[in-house]
Amino acid sequence: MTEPLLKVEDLRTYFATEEGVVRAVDGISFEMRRGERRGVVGESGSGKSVTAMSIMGLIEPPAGDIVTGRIVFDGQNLLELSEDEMQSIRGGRIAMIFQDPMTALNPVYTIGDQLMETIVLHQKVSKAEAREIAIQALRDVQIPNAEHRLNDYPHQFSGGMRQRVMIAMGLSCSPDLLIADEPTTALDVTTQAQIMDLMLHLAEDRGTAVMLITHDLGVVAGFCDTVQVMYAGGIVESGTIDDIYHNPQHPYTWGLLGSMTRLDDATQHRLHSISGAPPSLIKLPEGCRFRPRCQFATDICRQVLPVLRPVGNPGQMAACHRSEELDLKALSVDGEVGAAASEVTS
Amino acid sequence: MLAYITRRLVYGLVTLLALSIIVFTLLQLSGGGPLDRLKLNPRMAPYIQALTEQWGLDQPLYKQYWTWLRNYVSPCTSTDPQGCTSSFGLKNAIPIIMLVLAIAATAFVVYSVKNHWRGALVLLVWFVAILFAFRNMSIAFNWGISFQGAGPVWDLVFSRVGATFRLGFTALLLALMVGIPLGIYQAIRQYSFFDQLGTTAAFVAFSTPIFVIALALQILLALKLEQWTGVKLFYVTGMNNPGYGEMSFLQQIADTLQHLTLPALSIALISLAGYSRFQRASMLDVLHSDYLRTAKAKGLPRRRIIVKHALRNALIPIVTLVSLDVAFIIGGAIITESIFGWPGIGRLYIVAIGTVDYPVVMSIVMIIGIGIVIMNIVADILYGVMDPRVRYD
Amino acid sequence: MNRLWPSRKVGMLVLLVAFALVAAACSSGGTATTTTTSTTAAPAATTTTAPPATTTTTEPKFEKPYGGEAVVAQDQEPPTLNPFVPGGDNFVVSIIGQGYFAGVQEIDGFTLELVPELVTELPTVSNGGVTVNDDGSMTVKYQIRDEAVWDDGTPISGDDFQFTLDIILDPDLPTDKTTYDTIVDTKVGPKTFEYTLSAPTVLYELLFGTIIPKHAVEGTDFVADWNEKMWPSAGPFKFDEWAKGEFVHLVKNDNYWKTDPETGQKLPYLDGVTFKFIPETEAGLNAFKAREVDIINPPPATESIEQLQALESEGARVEVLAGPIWEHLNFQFGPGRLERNENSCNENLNMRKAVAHTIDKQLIVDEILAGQVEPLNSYVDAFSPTLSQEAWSQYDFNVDKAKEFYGMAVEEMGKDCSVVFSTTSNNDARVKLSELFVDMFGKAGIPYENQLEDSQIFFGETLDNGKWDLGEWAWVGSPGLSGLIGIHDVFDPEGPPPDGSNFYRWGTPDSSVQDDATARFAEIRDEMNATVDDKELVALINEAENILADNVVIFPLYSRLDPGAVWEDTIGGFKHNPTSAGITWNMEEWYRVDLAG
Repeated sequence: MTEPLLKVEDLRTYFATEEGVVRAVDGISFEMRRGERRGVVGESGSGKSVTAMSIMGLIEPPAGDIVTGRIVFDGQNLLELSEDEMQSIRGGRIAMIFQDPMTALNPVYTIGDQLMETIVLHQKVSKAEAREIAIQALRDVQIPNAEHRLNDYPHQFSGGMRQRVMIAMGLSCSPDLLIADEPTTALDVTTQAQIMDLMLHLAEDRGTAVMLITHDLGVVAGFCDTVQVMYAGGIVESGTIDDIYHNPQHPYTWGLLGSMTRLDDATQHRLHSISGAPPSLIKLPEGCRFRPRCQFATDICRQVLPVLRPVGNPGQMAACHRSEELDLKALSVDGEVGAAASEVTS
Repeated sequence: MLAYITRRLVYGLVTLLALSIIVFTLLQLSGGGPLDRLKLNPRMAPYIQALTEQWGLDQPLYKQYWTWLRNYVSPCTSTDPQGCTSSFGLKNAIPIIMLVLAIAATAFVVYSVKNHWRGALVLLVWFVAILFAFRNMSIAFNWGISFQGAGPVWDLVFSRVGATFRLGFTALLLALMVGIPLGIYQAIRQYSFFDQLGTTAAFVAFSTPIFVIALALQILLALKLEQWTGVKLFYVTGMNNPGYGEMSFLQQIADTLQHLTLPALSIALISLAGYSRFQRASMLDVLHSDYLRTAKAKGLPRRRIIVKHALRNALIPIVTLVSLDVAFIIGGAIITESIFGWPGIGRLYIVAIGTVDYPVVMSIVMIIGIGIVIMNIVADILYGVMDPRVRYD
Repeated sequence: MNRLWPSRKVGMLVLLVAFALVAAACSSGGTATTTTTSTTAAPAATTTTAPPATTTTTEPKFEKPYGGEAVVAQDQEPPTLNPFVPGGDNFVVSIIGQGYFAGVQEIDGFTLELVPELVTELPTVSNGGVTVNDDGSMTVKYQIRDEAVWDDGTPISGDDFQFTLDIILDPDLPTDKTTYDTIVDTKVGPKTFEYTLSAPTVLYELLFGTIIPKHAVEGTDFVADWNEKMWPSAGPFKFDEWAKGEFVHLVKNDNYWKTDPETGQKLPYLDGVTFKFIPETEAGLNAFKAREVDIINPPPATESIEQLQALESEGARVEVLAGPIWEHLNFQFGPGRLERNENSCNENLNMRKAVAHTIDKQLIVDEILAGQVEPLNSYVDAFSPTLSQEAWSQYDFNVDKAKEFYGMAVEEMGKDCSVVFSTTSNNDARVKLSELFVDMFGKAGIPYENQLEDSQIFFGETLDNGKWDLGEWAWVGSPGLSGLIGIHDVFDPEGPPPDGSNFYRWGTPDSSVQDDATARFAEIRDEMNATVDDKELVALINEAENILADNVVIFPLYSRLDPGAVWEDTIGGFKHNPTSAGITWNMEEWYRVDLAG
């Protein structure tokens, strides 16, 4: 096997606040292959966005600090790079797309200006060349009349169009890794699918690996090869799409699946959610962090923090003491996983 | 755009009319007529008679107001010596034409060109035009004769405008040059020791009355500093020493700075406190914005992020604040000018109020009013230049 | 021969202004304001025979250095520099004008008397300069000094006097024509000027205080052309520059004709004088401390004076003088007082004497004026000290006498006589005074009560209607016999308000006091107004002062302070003058001490 594109080892990202230390990401490890499409799923506060920001090197001391760990990207530990070296990777080899396209673009500069800025910076080309590349990038994301729209300001674009611009910007330098943080959450459903299709299609063309951060397992199911499920700063389960969907090994994954609308499900399941709220990241519970919300919790769950270990199918991993004894895939979620009215919020 | 400016100008005129009516009425209500004081001196009888006829002071209030208004907007002609020293001639139209051209140029550039640097150009054109207009102003309006005997009001007021501009714009420049970077730096280093210090200092400066600051500066920077160093660095009062005209160029600059520093600093300190707070808040907003995160994610150097992406946005709200400040500068720093013996419009205003010299009071109030109306429009235009989201429809 | 008319006018004129000034000063918290009389532009003259100011030789004789400049702080800026037009009556114009205006008379800073300036001597009946003609008119003759010239070298002549008169009487100009309009005839000579007034009046003293140079002004627009610059000077300096809002700069007049009486040197010594306008008192004091100004004449606040006096160790000299504004205690004799105090015994002389002996003037001066000046023993002291007889010194502070007189008063009146004191409540000095009185009257055993009022009410209603018992306020006096005669109008038994100014209602038809004294006083007033002979006038003035003192019609307390300060290590020859002549009266004699070898 070739060396993985990205290898994260025991990453811990903590934030100092007045109330105490927030352990936003608390010792996670995973790998990504070149061209892999990986979904990172979890509720808000689970640490998925912080993981992405840590990879991008956008966690700024003293408010936040990566305490330990390694982020090896293409053989280099990003955490050991200087700010200058990191800048050449950011936007060039690792690009990121953010959640809200309405506010993610600077309102006082034209689209072209903002696109060309990245291109000139990373590709060392002239302004005229950058302009051609930018126009092509806009055409790639199917923005009509690209050469004219280059001169328009963000407020002259709709939300979906803006996200296309963001994707164009992200992919304009053909990065090795594209981190998309909830790229479609703010868009309406029909646009969502178009944008996702477009993004993944373009990524595939360029051989770009995609880390798709979302709280929506449905989206992940449609577009990703692998999934990692995060809860309270840790990874609770990872595996292929098939592993996770058809053979969940962690009660949290199982709960998430239960709360998901399945388009292929003929029976009109009621939408379910997991009762309770995620724990405070300052005062984490003893033992398993999901334990307070877990209907299967036992004494050992109360005492020992479970580690991520191989369970279920080959390559599948989960962090649950009771994975083997529970046959989660056989259990119907209906009526059994609490009945809190609220959805999983993101 | 033109329609917008026209509309704003019409609103402005209505506001100014209302302002003039209110001030005029208040002046009449505030303790007898303007001539009461003159009447104490029996030799004034013929003068009072003349003033009464000129201003219709024995007429009902609304007629007096009408007389005032009619005179106020009438250019002087050679047949109308009252309150006029210069008369309206063809060459006097030049400054007016310049102003109209400047307004037209502004409208054109803002309307048709999207390049922001053109905005700065427009401002420059404005500035030069206004300067030129004032320099060549031999036109005069019939603003009447000062009741306290200081001659035609037009000449009186405009003889003081230069000093007020000198002080006001120096103070503004100081406040901007220090206040804005200070606010930005504080925002970038939020909660640092320097930030806390700046915040405390700003609140102290902001809550201290200007006359306390002014007198304290006099004592510290003029009296004490001279005692310590033995060198006279700053003057307590005045704008220039007698004999300024005979000094060498360098001496003139030194003399000007020695007089200008303390009053400018007094005003600047308070404005600066406001600007730095405002700039800090505005900058913090921007620093926490999504588009700044985007800029970082693009791999832009930190410097470029701050200068290009953060600053431009953070300066937009300041433009309004500063534009309105400029209008108040036209009105003069009333207290500061009095304390530092500065020959500006604010000091003239205080004396005029004390002597119920209402042609002077009205004229100065109206100048401030006109300044505010114009600067409001300028602020709106600038806002549009700086922020492409703003549209004037 | 109607002699009452002009004399009434004298009185009313002085009074109007005097009262206006003091009322204004009171309501604005003690700052003397601008609108003074014709006395500013033309210092009130007195027909005195006193010699010119040669009594000044206290300093050793030495050659004074020439050169250098002086800076004088002024808190107000005049609207115009032309003293003949509205706005030119500003006090500041006369202060600055000491540098370049000259006229018949000026006020000596040592004696506070009028002395001749452009003329060889002030005309009086005694010296033959004034004659009352058989037809009832009066002729005044000026002999112009031979050496007197304008700064361009043109001799000052009788033509200039005539031209000045023509300007003043020009019906199209807003000039003060008072008294000048009674001139019926003039005679012009190269160095003489003579005019005849239709009736005798001592107001001739006030005339021709500033002379206009015919050769420079003739043919110009008098109102428009002379606001911002000055015509040729007849004084020690000439006009150089007026930077509006900043300063007026004067430079040396090389053709000035006077010499220093001490050293025989040609005057002036200085090359120039700057008048710097600093409206804020504190800022003015700071400028003085920073030595940006050499001479300052701040408002008479005790704190300012103390700040200045603290600088005396560093080389400053502070002169705190008694000014012409005099505060006095007074009795109401009309029926209105009973509304204030039904036990008022003001009509009883013993009661008034009891009050006079009750007051500890020294304590008042110590407490209110920080002991900076002497208590006042006569109103004449305040503005014509050489003519004062100190007539009130007969009433010493003496509790025993006060008790004795009070006992007699109670017996004579047959009631428990008491005192209700009223004055303005928004004047710190007067409030302090009322507090001191509580103690003084308590010691004398006289029932006493304070009823202070806002100055608007006190001057607006109380005074006009005579609704007080014991009152306190100030008048401002002006030097010269005309000033002295004018002040006596306020005691004129024939002049109760609203037409007259006898607010005390002493001897008026509704007064409780109508006796030989009031009758005699009325006679004296008529005689004063019918007389121009200075010796007769002085006798009358003396008698009037004695009548007022013997009858305790009023009780003078103190003069308001007028401080002046100079950096004595820089400027020599400075002498403060509390009259309308002001601090600049002898500016030609100022010199730079630091330039002396």
